[in-house]
Amino acid sequence: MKHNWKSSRLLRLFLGSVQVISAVILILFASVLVQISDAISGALKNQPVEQSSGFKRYVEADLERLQKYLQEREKRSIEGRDENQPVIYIYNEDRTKEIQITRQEVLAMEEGGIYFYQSGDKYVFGGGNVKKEMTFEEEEGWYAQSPEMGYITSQYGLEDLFYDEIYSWMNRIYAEELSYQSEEEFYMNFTEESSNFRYYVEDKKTGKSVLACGIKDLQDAEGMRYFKNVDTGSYRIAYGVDGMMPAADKYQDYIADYSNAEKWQTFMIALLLTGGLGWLVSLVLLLACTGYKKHKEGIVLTRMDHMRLEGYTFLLVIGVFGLWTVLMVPIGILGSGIGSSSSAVYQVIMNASVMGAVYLGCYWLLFTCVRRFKAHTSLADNFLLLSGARAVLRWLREGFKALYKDRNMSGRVILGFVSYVLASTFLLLLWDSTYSGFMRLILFLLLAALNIGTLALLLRYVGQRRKISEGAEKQAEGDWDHQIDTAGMWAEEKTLAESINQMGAGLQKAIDSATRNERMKTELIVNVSHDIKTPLTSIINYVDLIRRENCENENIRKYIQILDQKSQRLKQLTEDLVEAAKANTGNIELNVERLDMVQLLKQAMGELEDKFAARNLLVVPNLPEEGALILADGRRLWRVFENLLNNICKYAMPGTRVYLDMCRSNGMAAVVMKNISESPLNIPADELTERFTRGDASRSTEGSGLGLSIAKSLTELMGGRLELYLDGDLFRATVEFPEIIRTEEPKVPDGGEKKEETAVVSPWEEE
Amino acid sequence: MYRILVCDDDKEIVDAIEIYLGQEGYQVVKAYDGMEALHILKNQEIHLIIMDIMMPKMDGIRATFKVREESSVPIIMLSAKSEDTDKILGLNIGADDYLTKPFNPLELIARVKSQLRRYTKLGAIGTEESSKVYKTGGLWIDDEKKTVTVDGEQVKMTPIDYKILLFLVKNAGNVYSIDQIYEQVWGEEAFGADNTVAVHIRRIREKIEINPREPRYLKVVWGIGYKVEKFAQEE
Repeated sequence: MKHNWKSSRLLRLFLGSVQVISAVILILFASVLVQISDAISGALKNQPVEQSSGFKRYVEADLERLQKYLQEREKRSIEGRDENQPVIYIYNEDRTKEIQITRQEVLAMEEGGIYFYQSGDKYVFGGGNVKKEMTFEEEEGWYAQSPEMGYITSQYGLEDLFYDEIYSWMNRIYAEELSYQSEEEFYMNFTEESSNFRYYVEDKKTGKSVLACGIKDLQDAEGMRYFKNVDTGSYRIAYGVDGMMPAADKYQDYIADYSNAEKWQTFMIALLLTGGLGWLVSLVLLLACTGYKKHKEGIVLTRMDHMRLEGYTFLLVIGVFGLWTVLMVPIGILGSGIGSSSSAVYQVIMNASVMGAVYLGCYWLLFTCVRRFKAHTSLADNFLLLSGARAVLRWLREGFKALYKDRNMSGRVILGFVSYVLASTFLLLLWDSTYSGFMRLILFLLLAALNIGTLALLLRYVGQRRKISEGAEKQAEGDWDHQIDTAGMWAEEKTLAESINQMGAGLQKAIDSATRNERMKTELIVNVSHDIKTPLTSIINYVDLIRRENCENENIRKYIQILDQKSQRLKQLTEDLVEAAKANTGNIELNVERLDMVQLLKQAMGELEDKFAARNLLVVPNLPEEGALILADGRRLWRVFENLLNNICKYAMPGTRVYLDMCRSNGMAAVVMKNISESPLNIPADELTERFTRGDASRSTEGSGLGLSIAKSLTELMGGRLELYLDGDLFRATVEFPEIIRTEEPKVPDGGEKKEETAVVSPWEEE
Repeated sequence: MYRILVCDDDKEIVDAIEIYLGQEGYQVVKAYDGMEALHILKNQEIHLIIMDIMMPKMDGIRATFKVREESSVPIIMLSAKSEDTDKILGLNIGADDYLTKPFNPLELIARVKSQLRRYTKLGAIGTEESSKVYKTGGLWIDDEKKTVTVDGEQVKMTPIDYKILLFLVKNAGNVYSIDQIYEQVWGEEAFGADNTVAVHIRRIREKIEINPREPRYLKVVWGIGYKVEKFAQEE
């Protein structure tokens, strides 16, 4: 297997651990980066440490705390810091009952948890180790006062007064106290030992120093790493950072980090590179390996890989959310009682685990996507939405096809129309029922799509029809090979087109086969007759030679005579055979031209004049002077006339007349030959007609066998008609052709220049 | 003594022809295919070739072509192929005559004689020429002497026939209708029913043509008229 290494478990294990290690490195990198990012960025810019943004930020933060402390201090100095000073007074209308709450008591109550209840005719409230009591009467008015706040308020009921006002005052006082305490903390912190931050505060009104630490006056910048002055309204403050860094505080750390920046820089880059590259490379390799299992071909998809991606993402989200919720539970139960540091740690743990879960989830998502891609799963398989859509579409299409397919034409049209109407009505109703512009837009698009789709279908149908009719037309014209392209046709159109195609193909085959057969037939006949002629030549020659021997024997002379006759007949027949075959199948090349049928007849008469004379036949011509022009092949028409006239010579009763007439009718010119037959014509005319096409030579007398058949075929080939009519002993033959209008006869001058002409030529010039 | 080469792959036919020609006093050399014929031609003086077409090794057409590369000896083609296309091919390739099988032996002999006369009379032309001789191929009409010669042999003609033939030969190559010929020769207008001209034409043909059914000179253009074929003169 090619992918041997890809399916190796060991490799994957190795890569997996590389992943984890490099991820850890990267996290390290990130955390270090977060801490010293300012240092790094500053170092990269080659700034002195005091000017780096991180340093400045520290300084300004310290300044801010200083200012806040000053504010608190100011407030305290106005009011005094006596803890035993009452801060809240509660009394009734005539001041006969009064309760005072000191600051200390407020603090204690808040820290212990404030309570307030009614016990008999007394109200009791307190918290911690403080407890106050007050008797009350109904309908008594109460007052509460907080000089610190500057409030005097009254209520009818002490309970209401307590909950509405006193309670919130106490909260506020407590909050302030806390902040003051933290400011005191701050003050504690900003000693020369604990911090490198130095300051000098001068009261603007008195000009006297209020606070100072490490700086003697506003201008004393000696030994300062950073020194600035600021005017805050009531104070002038000079502040800075001690250059010698006696205290081990954040400034020291920062500077140390900063100075190590370069080392850190290389280190950081190394971390980044190893971590990053390691992570990337191992990820890529793992992705390459994913999906291959030992001993199995191709990509193997886990069960999870078949889940739709939406579902997967959903599960992931649920899982992370669930995890977060679960982790929040302890916080919820224990409330804010948890110390801030442990709470912070827990917070970090929680965040880390959630992020880890998200990372793992995305990681798995990536892998499953890659596997699916490698396995060439289709998009629809991966997305619920798409597969749902695909299923719906398929269902619709199947349903439609089933409805559509086997209906006949009108049914289909009705169905299509009805669905179109329903769909558009539905869309229009929806349109009407919604006012949302967005919905309307969607509906409009759907409607447009429906209409365009319908139009497209109609056009397509029209196009198909056109293709079919074009195809049929082509075939009618004789192009049997043309095939209608049936791609995309359904039902009736398809069957129609296919039927036409088949008809055409069938016809083409039939025609091809018929032409082939015809050609083979004539070829056969021509070849055979050719082969017959060779031995026939020898027979004729040697018969002739024998005759030349002038044998004395009477019998031999007789026999030779017969042999000679018969071999000549054989020769004639062989020649006729070829011509008949060619004439019958129309395989003759005709040189059709305009000729005068009357002239031809005269020429024929001239040729056969002595034959007629030999039988004592008187030819009576009745031919028009102007002649009759027809379109025919001269030589072939001569053959026809020759054959007919020869027959007359042979079969006419000697001493009778032969009538040769020319008559015209209906645009046809006809030559009519009439004679009286010597022997009775005991064959009816139609049988005689049939006879020639069959060439029944055995029953007829010598020479007439194929001749008439050829004559009839030739005439018909030239577009004419040969007809025989028998009445008693009258034999009549008619040769008819369409007559053409005579044009001018061109004059041929004596001995004039004229181009060389071949055997068949027409002197008639085209006008 | 003329020597004639007979070339045909059918031995019996060659022998028969040998007898015919022998009886006329010609010497006959036999060959049975084209290559043999060429070979013989190279080594002996031959005055006429009778060549069949369908032969092994080299057919008659190719052989004729090769012969014509070097010699103008008369060639008569003899073949069972009787189509017009075959005849045209044979004559174009260089044969002087074409005869189809089966043939009439008398016709063969007549054609041989005519070809030989024309071939040998080449030298004798010129001395007896007068100004008014009309020639086409082997058909010459001397209007002064009022003679008609076909391939050197004189033919007797009636005056009308002579006039007709002279008219046609003078305008060799042109076709004339019966009426036109009649008017030319008789000097009067023709009337329709007369076919005297046709009869005369036939008689002329029988006199001057070896085979009147296959005329070489006086041809019938059916339905149109008659003409005399115009041949290029051999100088």
